[in-house]
Amino acid sequence: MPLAEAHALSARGALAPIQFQPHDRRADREKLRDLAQRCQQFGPYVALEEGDAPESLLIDVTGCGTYFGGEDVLVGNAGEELQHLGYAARLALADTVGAAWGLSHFGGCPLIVPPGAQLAALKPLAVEALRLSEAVLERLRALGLRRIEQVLALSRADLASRMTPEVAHRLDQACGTRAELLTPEEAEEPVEAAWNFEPPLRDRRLLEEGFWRLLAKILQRIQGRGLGVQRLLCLFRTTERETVSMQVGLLRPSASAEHVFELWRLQFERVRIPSAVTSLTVRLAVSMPLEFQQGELFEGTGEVERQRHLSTLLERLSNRLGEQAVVRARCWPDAEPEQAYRCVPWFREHATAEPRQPSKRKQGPWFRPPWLFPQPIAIWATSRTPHGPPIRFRWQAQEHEIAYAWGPERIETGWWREGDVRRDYYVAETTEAQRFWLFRTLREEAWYLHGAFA
Amino acid sequence: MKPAASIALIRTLQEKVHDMEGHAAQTVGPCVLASGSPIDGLLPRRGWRRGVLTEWLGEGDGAGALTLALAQSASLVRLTGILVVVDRQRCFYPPAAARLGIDLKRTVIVQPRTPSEALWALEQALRSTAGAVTLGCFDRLEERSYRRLQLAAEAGGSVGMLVRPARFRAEPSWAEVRLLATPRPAKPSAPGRCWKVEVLHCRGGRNGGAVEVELTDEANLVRMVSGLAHSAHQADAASA
Repeated sequence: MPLAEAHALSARGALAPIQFQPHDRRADREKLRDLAQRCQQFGPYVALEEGDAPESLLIDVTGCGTYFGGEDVLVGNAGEELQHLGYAARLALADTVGAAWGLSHFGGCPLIVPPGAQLAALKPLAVEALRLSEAVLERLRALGLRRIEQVLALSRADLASRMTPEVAHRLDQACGTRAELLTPEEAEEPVEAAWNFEPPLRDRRLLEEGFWRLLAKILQRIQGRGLGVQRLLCLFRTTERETVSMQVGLLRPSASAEHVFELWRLQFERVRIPSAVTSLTVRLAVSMPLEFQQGELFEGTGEVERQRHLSTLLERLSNRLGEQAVVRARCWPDAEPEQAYRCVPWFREHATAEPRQPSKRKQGPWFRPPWLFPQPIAIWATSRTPHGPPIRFRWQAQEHEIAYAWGPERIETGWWREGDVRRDYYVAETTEAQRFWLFRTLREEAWYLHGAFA
Repeated sequence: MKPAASIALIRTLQEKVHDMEGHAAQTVGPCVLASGSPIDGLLPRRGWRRGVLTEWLGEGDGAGALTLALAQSASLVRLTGILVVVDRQRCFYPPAAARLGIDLKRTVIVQPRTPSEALWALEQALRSTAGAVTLGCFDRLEERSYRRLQLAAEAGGSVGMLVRPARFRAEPSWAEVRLLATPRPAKPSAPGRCWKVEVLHCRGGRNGGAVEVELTDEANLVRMVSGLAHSAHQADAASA
């Protein structure tokens, strides 16, 4: 959607509140460099693609597959790592940088090309997969050359006479007849500790002991630097060549081994390790200066001690139940009841923008039920007149006579989403003074129970 | 002895007995929170004690026990600073809670996947010394689990609220107070809601007290229905 159109829709209130930010190429590059650092676990050389606005990471994984139990496992682990960080990555592994780039951008992903087969894999792809400049691409299109195989069908003499040398250069790079240099990102020395078990361990108490010792080593390394643990990665490699990973997150950096261990153990108790563990690696993923004081978790809750207790509670809950299970809700200015709030995990709280506050329409607490079913429940209901309020409905094999029904409150919205909403809502009070929130769809005239004033 | 003096003496003795029974909350600061609602008058010390559980029972899915518990929590959170809602069913609807006066910025919503996780989360929140109001909707509660929750609340000093269906009223409870919220029929002209709130069980207090309350449109506050015949205060006076 063009920016001007988004502006216009936002101004009319048709879209959820939008924050407009100018594109920051420098920030993009910095983020990609951070990712490059994280990807050094998959290969010794990780580089950003050339150009002013790089968007791809190039990893030299020559000979690394065996350490992961195969190249497919390596690619799978890389995908999982990036997904865990919140990125939808497209991955391809090939003999040459050119082929891997082209296949990751225009092929099916993740894709692993067997050695020497890159040319066959590239042939059916669009010419855009050759990393050519826009001017050259336009020229190729003008000549009717849309796929790489069509370009390959031309003789080199024809290619040289009709096109710039860039085409032959990129083709050679993709096929592997011309070398391509990677400029690796300088790696920060990772703070990690590992333990190889011989024989492999199954006893969870021994694994706990192992983690405790590795944690102590890590904390010792960062002790003098005034740093605390904010996020810790723990990898178990098993005899079945599987890798089980765990991440321990903290709201505030900590250098207390007992505290970090306690949070780790809350997760470890729920982690299933399918076979004996051959090695355990503990890596400091994010560290922060210990004096770093986060803003108040809750506005106005006052004293430092209470804030500390709160963050401990949130850390315990989030590490045991998962970060997605401990959330803070925010009302969202959307008429569709299901879309009228957003839940944000506490651990990601600070990355989100404050939405525009909902309009202060004068509505009492009985216009929305405190108990809303995740999915509206189809019910049988009847009304005295067509399009009239309900007088009776049946739910859970029980018939409810309705004494009063307030409404309809018509909600027609969400046309820009899949499946728009057109509903007439009623607050219905039964003869037993119980209250429910019902709606009738305008299209199918079907009744649903959406919530209870529990 | 004059009646007023005897009432005061009885109250003092009740509090002493209560403390000797070991129910005093182990927290720093005020142990009894006054929310300002008429329901306070039904409670043993005319307020919400830290370190104990209160059980809300409602007959049916739309009886409004959760609504009342949330409205009550909204007032208490202004004093304690934080509300933890354990929502295993993922049905808690924040926009409605906000309309009941809950400050969502001070609300932690925990969404466990299983009943055992939900119990664990509730226990953690109750045990935390952050001094939160903790609220959870539960059906069946084993006696041992219930006891653990009560001990956790005692250790942490939280105000714990459990919302449960009224069909469990016959089961034993470790809550200090068990309240039954029975909704009253509304008037078609005013969709505001009234309830009779009745004390089914009260440790260290008097059972059978009742008060009629309504949720007002203007301020989303729980207040006593005007012209009421059976308020707690009147019941007190009658018993004295």
